[in-house]
Amino acid sequence: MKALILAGREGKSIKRLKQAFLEKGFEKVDFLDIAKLNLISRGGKTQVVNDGIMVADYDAAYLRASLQLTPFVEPLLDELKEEGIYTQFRPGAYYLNSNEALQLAALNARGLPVAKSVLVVDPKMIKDSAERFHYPLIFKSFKGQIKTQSILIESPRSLRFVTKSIKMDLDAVIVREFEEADLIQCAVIGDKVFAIRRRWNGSEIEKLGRGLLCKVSDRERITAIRAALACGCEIATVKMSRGFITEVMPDINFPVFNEKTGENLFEVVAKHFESRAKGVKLKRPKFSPSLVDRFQRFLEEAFHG
Amino acid sequence: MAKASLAIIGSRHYKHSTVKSLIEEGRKLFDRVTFAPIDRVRIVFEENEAKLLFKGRDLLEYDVCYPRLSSRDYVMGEAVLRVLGQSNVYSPVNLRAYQITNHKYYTIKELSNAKIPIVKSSLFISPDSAKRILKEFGMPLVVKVLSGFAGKGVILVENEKQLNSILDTVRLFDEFISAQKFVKGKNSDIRCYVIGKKVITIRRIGKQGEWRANVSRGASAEEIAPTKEMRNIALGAAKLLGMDICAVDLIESKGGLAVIEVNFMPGPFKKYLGNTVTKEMVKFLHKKAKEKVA
Repeated sequence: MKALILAGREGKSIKRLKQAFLEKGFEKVDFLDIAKLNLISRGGKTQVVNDGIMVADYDAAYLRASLQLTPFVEPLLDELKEEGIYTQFRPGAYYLNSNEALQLAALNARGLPVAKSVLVVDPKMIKDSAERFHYPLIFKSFKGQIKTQSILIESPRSLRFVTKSIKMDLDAVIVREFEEADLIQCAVIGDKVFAIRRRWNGSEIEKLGRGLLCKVSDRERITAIRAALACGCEIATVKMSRGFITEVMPDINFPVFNEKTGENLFEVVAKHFESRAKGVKLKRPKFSPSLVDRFQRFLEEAFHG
Repeated sequence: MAKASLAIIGSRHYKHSTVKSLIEEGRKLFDRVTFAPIDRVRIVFEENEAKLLFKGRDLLEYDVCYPRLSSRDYVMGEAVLRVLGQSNVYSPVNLRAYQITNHKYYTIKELSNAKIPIVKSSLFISPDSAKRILKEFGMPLVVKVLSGFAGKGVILVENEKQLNSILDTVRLFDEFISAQKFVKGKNSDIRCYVIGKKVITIRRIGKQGEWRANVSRGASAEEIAPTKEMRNIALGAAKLLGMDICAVDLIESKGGLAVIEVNFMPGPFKKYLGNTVTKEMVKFLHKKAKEKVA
């Protein structure tokens, strides 16, 4: 099998991942700067083009791109799926992970536990919901994809003060009940979950690098996998607090997780790719797009336990 | 007869005149019509349940909800569409269609793969790709810079120097270029309104010296009878994107008709069509509401 690594630059992590793919038996592994690709649609078909590399020749593509590249990544994901090239994301994943408001709605729609939250455009609209919340709250504001504020609110008075002090036009505000508890940060790779506990010290959550390796319950493991899948990812970081999902990100901090777990997660990723990409191209012509979607749904339901 | 209710969620970035006529027409057929500007809507998530609230009413309890959102509403708009998609409320549009139609190239790619005729298009960032596109498409090119979610308007690029200066800006701000071969037509395009299975067609004629046939840029318009080809293309594009209401813009070239874009929240061209489009939209939404109530 042949694998392609599509990323912004070929850093240390990408080199180690490349090595892991080769050790797993991939006959060819190439790196390609995602910005060098282009998509061309003409005469009833689309091609992913790059000088020198034929993307359609690969069985799998590991994708690591900034969420700012969403307008490029989304049609690319769609096309890779059409070509039968396995990636860790399904189309829509970048839309889901680049908009926290959409992510919250998607997690809730999939029946995943999210803390009581309210989502508005105009901060003044929060007051109608705020009295039914338990404090403290986390208050996040967004202008486009950019998070302009993320603060902890201790009382209704502080909330009133914050909402009144905002002068700029915002695109969304999320207010969520905040769990004053340790944060479990999970690295999800297929059906494997590795977790680090980040302690709540009474005023903030400690940094990931200071966290400790921890074992998650079966329920937490399944919740983490389901959350990643609900956001279109088979490989992701899922943050949880007291059983509630607080965030899903389409990437993993490999250096920290490798250090804390003592495992080589690049190898785990390569193994996951090896099992998922095997035969995908051969089977592709037999599947209609709706069958592929049904298969994806089946996978998600399988993880519901 | 069972009562039917209609909620319209409006963009905060557009004039509400279109919505006003939808409300007026809606009141003639529906028992309850509520207009909720998106910046007055709250989504509350509680115990695995979502509520879409406007002035204390849950819009998810309506029979029909028609979100008319612009690309600039995307942060809240995507969440609203996701919540609606999960509910039992009938909506003529959906989240995926919103995401795709707000991305000119993505729309063309989807249609092209489904063998719907399109104008040759590409998405790229690097200067190397630009050279390849230039070689294949030739000049002039219709270029749209994509940043974040929404585009920044279209530019007609007539020479390589112009394209290079756009590329310099694009690289600086992590943006992309969606380029489309410029089709020399009759200084006009065709807009097909799709409302259920009905297609209403107009020809937009651009102002002298203007390459775009937008009415806001001085173009005029006239209603024409849709040909079989126009109907097939428009209905095919709408079906592919899962939309019951939209507008499909076509261009006529030597090779026949081709899609240039699909509009998620088309304006009704009241100046040229009167209330024809809004009436048809409301009639269709009411039919859906009746089916649901029954």
